[in-house]
Amino acid sequence: MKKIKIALTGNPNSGKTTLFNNLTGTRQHVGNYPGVTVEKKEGIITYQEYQIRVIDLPGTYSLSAYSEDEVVARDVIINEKPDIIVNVVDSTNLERNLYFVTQLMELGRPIILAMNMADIVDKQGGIINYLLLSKILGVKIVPTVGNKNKGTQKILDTIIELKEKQNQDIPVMIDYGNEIQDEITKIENIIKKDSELNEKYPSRWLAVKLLENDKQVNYLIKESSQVNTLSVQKEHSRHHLKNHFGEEPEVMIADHRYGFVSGVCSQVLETPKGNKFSITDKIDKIVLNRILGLPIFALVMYGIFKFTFTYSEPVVGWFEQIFKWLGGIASSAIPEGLLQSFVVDGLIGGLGGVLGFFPLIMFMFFAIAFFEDTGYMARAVFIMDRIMTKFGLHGKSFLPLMLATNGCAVPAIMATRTIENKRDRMVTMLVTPFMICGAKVPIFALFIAAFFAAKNAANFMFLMYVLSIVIAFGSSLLLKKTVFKGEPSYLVMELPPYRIPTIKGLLLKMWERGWLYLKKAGTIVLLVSVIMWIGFTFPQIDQNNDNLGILSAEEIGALQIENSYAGKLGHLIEPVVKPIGQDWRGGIALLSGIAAKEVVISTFGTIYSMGEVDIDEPVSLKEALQNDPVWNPLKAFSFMLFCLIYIPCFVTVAVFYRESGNSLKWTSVLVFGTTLLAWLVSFITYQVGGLIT
Amino acid sequence: MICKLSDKKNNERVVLINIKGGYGVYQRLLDMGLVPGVTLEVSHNHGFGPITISLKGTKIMLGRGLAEKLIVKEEKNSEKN
Repeated sequence: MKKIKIALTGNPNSGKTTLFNNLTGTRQHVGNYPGVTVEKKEGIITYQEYQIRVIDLPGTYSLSAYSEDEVVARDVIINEKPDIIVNVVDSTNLERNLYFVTQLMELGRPIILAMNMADIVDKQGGIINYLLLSKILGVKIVPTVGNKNKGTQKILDTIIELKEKQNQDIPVMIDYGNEIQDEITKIENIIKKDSELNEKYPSRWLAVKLLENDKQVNYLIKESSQVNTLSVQKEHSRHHLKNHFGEEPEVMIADHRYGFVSGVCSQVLETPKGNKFSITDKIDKIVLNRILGLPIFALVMYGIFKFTFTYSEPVVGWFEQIFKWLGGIASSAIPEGLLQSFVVDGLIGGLGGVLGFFPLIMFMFFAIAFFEDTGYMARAVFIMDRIMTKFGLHGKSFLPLMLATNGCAVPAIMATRTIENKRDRMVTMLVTPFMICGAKVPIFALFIAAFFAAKNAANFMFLMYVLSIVIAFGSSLLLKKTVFKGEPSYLVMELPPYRIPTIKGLLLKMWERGWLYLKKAGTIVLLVSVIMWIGFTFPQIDQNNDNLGILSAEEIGALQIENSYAGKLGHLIEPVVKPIGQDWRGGIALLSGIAAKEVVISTFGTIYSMGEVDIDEPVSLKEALQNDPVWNPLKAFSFMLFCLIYIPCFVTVAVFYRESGNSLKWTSVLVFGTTLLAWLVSFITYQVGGLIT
Repeated sequence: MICKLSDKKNNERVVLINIKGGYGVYQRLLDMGLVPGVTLEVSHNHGFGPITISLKGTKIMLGRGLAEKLIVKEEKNSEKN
């Protein structure tokens, strides 16, 4: 079978993802580009006698080196040398989209333009002369309607037509005018002397990028044999152009591209009379309103939570049942003993803790995908930016913080990828775990129920949420004022027109993110569960000891824990937790919470000889805590504070490590910084509280 | 009259003259169509927070800090449409 390699490119909001889904169906592979946190999506299509591999590149506005996305997009085109580039164009926004095309054209690969949303242009009364456009640019053109799956077949046919043609169509070159062209030629001539460089990169593209003073390309030429001549020529050319035009060369180059584009548009496009923004404008008048904006935002957020929690409840129940059922099967199939304990408590129990949470995450992903695809999320950034920047965060930080609240910090940290500025992203990633995730809620619920009057329970819970926000915002402010001091970062973002999302698109988006979460969480949790199981199970106490005869099975369990490695570790760290009001038992509970926060409860359950504890309704554990004279409300409160702030669960730490670019430094800051802060807050609360009461 | 984009009110049409400093996002702004000489219209400026503008058929949101760095002048009456 003959093979074709396709790169799929396009502006954000051009409908690129929809086209990718139409082309490849569900046969997609999602991964990561090595070294960067940009998603890598690929799909394989078998069409006629061809096997077509489609690489979906990140949606970008340009191919400069401003963001990781842009660098990845152009690196893939240059290194992988796709046979054909399929670029998706939002036909209702021809000018902005063609600007990107002018940059693609310089990469010297054959191009097919998928003119998407062609139906909307028709409806608005616009006419695009495709034939002329194709001729001017030297590219193939296929009108498409992504959400109705129109034009997909034609794209496949065009791909094959292009591939089968012997001398392929290469796009035309932008005319930058004599002055700039002369400098491009001078640089190109030097590049051609280095055959290695000339073979690897399109020489004209490289020359233009050098004139633009592109950071990454400046770095690239350092390995060239012509590095000195090139650098001198580059500086000379830039200087010459600056003197000639009175502007930076990059401005003049962008200016020529826009000039070319607007020339093309005036030739091929008959603009509709109506304003395509009319509906969007009307909605924005309300949604971005100075007074109404914030309440509407709050309502949308409330809607997302309401949807997530109401509708995921039965599914979460089914998942719990499945794991219980699996545990039951394993218990009956495997004879009692170490192996059974390992499979039931270690593997199934550990996985169940995280997977039980999975449906809720999926529902939240769905709700968020809905608001993203309608275009509202960009407006939410507008509303929140003012508040976020006051606390050293970024307008785009609100989404991660929201995902973590009652949800999970793992997808939240992955969601920080939309923040382009590295410092802003790091601050957001560091403070996100302070939010009260779904696993911390049952801890607080248990201790509030056990030690505070029922009528104040809701108030105490609310207080915990307020504290989480105060701590998160306080630390981001502190980080921004100290370690991340410097030039403030900027917000530039397109506000796409409002659109009605497709169910297929939403489901695929939900599944894609869910799968990524599952893969990361699943593997790590399995590993940690095994380690934890070993820690709590070994060394085994002698079951045949006569003195144990008088004890119940639960009491033996508690004794086993105290004598296990974990129990010994608990005793070892007792001096550290004593000042915050805890003994070895609290110590182990906190240690076990590193695996996953809700484990804190099940550990207490085992310590208090409860056997199995249902974390949703730990009635008997509540009574056991109340009856234990060691505990009091002050201790409970400082314990809750510690749980709120200290080291995030292991999965979060692992994902943080990867998303921070494998930074050991920042991962240590996360692990030790949070724990130290937790200890200090808890210590002060306990000691000062002790003086008052 | 020459002033900062952030000082402009809703529905005012202006011409971008230049971008003061802020080289970190310079290329980005060019890529979004904010090339000196371009005409743009302010859609939402609350006097606080980001502002939104429309140009070349798209709407763009700019953080306030950035809008303060964009120097603009009023569009000439003859060019108004």
